[in-house]
Amino acid sequence: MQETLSKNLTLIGQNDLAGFGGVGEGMALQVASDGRRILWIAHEGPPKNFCGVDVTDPKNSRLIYQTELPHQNMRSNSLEVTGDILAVAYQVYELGLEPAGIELFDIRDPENPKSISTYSTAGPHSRGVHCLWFVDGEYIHMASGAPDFTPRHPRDDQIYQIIDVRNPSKPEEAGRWWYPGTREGDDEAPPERIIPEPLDRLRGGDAFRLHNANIYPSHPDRAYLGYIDGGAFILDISEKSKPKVVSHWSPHNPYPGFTHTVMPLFDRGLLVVTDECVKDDSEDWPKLTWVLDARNEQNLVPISTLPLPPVEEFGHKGGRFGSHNLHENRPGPSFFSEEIIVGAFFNAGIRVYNLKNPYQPDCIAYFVPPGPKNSRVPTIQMNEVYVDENAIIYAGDRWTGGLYILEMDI
Amino acid sequence: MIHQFSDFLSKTDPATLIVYGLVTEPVRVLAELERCADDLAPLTNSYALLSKLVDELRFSSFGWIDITFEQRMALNNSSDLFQLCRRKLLRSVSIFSNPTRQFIDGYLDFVLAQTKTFKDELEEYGSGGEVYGAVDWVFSAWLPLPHAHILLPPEFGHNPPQFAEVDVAFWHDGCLKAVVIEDSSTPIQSKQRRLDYLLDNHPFLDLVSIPKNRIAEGHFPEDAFPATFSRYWEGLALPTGPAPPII
Repeated sequence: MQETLSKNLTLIGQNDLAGFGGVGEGMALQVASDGRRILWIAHEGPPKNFCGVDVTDPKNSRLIYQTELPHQNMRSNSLEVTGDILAVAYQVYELGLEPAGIELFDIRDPENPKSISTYSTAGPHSRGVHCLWFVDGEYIHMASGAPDFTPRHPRDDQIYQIIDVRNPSKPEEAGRWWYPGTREGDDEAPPERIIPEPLDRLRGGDAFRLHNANIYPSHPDRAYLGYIDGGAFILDISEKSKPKVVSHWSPHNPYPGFTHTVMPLFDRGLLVVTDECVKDDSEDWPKLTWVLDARNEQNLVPISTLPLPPVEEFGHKGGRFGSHNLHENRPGPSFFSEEIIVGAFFNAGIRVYNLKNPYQPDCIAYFVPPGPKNSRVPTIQMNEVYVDENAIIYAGDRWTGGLYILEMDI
Repeated sequence: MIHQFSDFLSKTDPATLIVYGLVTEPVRVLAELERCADDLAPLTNSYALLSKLVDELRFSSFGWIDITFEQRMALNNSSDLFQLCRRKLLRSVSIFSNPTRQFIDGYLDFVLAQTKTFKDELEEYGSGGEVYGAVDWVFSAWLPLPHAHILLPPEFGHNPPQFAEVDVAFWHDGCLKAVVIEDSSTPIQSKQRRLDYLLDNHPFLDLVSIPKNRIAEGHFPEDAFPATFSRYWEGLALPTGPAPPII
């Protein structure tokens, strides 16, 4: 039996999500009209779609809603909430299947979400939506295939798309952008692959597609994209129908790809960029979280990485070990800090960093619980993290552990 | 020991130690000061030791700026000297702290602009305008200490010593003006506890809380400070410059 490793983080609650404890990459908090606080959670994969957990008392969380996916050949890995609207991403495992795209729900009554609309991006070369960002109530920014987009490489299908949902019953595309050279018919040459993998595998690395797009209401003319093997991009989206590249930074190669999140710290002129670990047993080590000096946004300069625990200790404990999701300073009932960074690092658990000195980030807290029962791997696989405005951390295991609720003492 | 100097709660000899500027670990500065505690200047380019012997810190206060011989030779007038002060001061502001930089920039612009706004008054002020011009009075403005880490008394915690942090500090009429630029950050418990202790216990402290949007685009929020802050020349007989040559 493994022991919990922790420093300055205390487990105050846990919820196994009714035995379906595989948590995807979506967590968002709703403050309902009756004052209840509902944490909406995307599941990692089928059979469940998404669930709602009442975390009004974080020590006594309660599952209040859980729904099924339409079929087993799909997943809804990502979701976001703005006000009383929940947006859910649908991604299929085989090209051409449906539903692929997004669905919007009215969650005014959290026990009874009602579908408002769907927006399909299904097509012969599309898997639909992997990740979405929806924080302003007006636009969804997402990584998706499209019915009219033919990628040169099958894994380069999910491009940046902006969907206007100001009328939530009728979502409309407002703009799109893709890595030049990845679309059939592009003038540019296709990008050189970083670590080539077989073409018949749709999931995984060796991809020049979008993962996360972060757009903040305080800076609505900028999009921060993690473009997997393509690295980090800053786009000017002041004209949403014509996104323009402001700058680009990529550590791949020699680093092994999979840029996931690009999070700006505006008042500090910094970017925090994660490269997701996508292989077990450190096969793709090192997957780092980079700190970039972005004072000149046209010349991004890496200045440090968030220190991880020793690879010899964590690399072969089982499962993935390395960077993944961050708490993203999103608006709403959400923790906001440009000095304290909270991230999910798979078998290295949840880790909290002080970035006061960005040249020497300091790990000031961590929580690594034992591997949950019935997991595919023997370790915890912290996959997603959300921190509320009271600095309560909500973290999810990728396979079976469900929701972990932590208190920070920093 | 430095703790005796720096305890602002001392009934006999209250003092406030502020470590300021590009500081990531103020404890290291403190350790250095402890090594030479018998010979501490009240003001240097990295700390200020404020006691009843120090009424105020102005640009003209000795110790915060070092001017080399070459720099001094390159100065043609008081405006040049003020620009040198600006460069030196901004070098003590983190390059990764836009709000503090904006505040200091706005403040420097403001105090210089005051010499133009009140040019006639200043030329008649003190000894009159035959020797000094209005711009010479700019060095009488209050000295901002960016990224001020204020040592807390041992009763709060002493192993390691604890500091409360404010964005900028001024020492004005024997009173600490602690400037905090308010943004939407979630308070961090430990940092907030230290700040609350400082605010609750420091005997001569005014908190100046400024919303971030009030310092945008170089604006200095004059109304957040007392009138004597803007009319910084009042009560002085003569303007003096910073860092007079040591003969």
